[in-house]
Amino acid sequence: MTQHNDRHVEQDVEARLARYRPSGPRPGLRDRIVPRARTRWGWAVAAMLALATVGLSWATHSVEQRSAALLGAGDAPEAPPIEAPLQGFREVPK
Amino acid sequence: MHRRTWIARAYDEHGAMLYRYALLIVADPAVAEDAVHEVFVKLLAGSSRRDDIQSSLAYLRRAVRNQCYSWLRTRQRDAPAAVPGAGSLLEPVRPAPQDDRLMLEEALRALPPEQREVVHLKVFEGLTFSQIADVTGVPLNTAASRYRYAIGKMGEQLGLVRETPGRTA
Repeated sequence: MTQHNDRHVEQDVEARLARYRPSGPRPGLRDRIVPRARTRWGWAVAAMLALATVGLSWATHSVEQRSAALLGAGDAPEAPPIEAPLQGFREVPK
Repeated sequence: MHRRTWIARAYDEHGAMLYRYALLIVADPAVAEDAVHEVFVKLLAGSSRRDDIQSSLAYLRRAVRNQCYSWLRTRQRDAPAAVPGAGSLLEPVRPAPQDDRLMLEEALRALPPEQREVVHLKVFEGLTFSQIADVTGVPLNTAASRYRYAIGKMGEQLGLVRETPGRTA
C-alpha cells in the first residue's frame, strides 16, 4: 500500500516537473564567453566583400578597355553603303 | 579552425544544457552562469584538445559539475548560512499555473544539491540511473535512492503525500 502510494506520488511529481524545464541562460552569457569570435568573423566577411568588390571592378574595367581598343583600331569591317549593290537610283520604265 | 571558433561552436551546441545543469545543482542563476563561464574560459586558455571537447559532452558536463561543487564547498566553508540567490529555476514548456512553478521551485531549493542534480539528470535530461551513476560517480543504487528520496521530499513539500492506514497504525 505504501509502495503503491510512493509510486503514485513519484508519478505526480514527475508529471508536474514535466511541464517545466530549468530556465535557460541569458543571451549575454555567450558574448561573455566568446566576445571576440563574432568580431573576427565580422572583419573576415568585410575583408572578403571588399576584395570581391575590387576584383569585380578591375574585371569590368579590363573588359571595357579591351572593347574600346578593338573598336578604336578599326578591326571591325565597315558595312558597305546601301546604294552600291543597288547600282544607284534608276527610273522604272512605263 | 581557430580555437575560439570551435569553442564558440561547443558553447552553441551544449552551453544552454550545461547552464541548466549547473542551475539545478547550485540553484542560483548568477552562480550557474559563472560556473559555465569559468569552464569555457579555462578551455580557451588551456590545452584541452578539440576532440576531447567536441566529441564528448561528458567532458564539458564533468567540468561544469566540478566547478559547481567547488563553489558549493567554498560557500559552505566561507558562508554556511548564505541564502541561495534569487531568480527562477524553472520555465514552463507548456501552460501551467504560476503558483505551481513557485511551489516546485521551492521544493527543489529545499533539496540538497546532489538530489537536485539527480532529479535534473533523470527528469530533464532523461538519463537512466546507470548513466546518472556514470555522470555523478556514485553506485547505481545510490543514484536511484537519491532520486527516490528527492521525489519523496518534493511530494511532501507539495502536499502530495497522504497518510495511509499502514503508516498511521
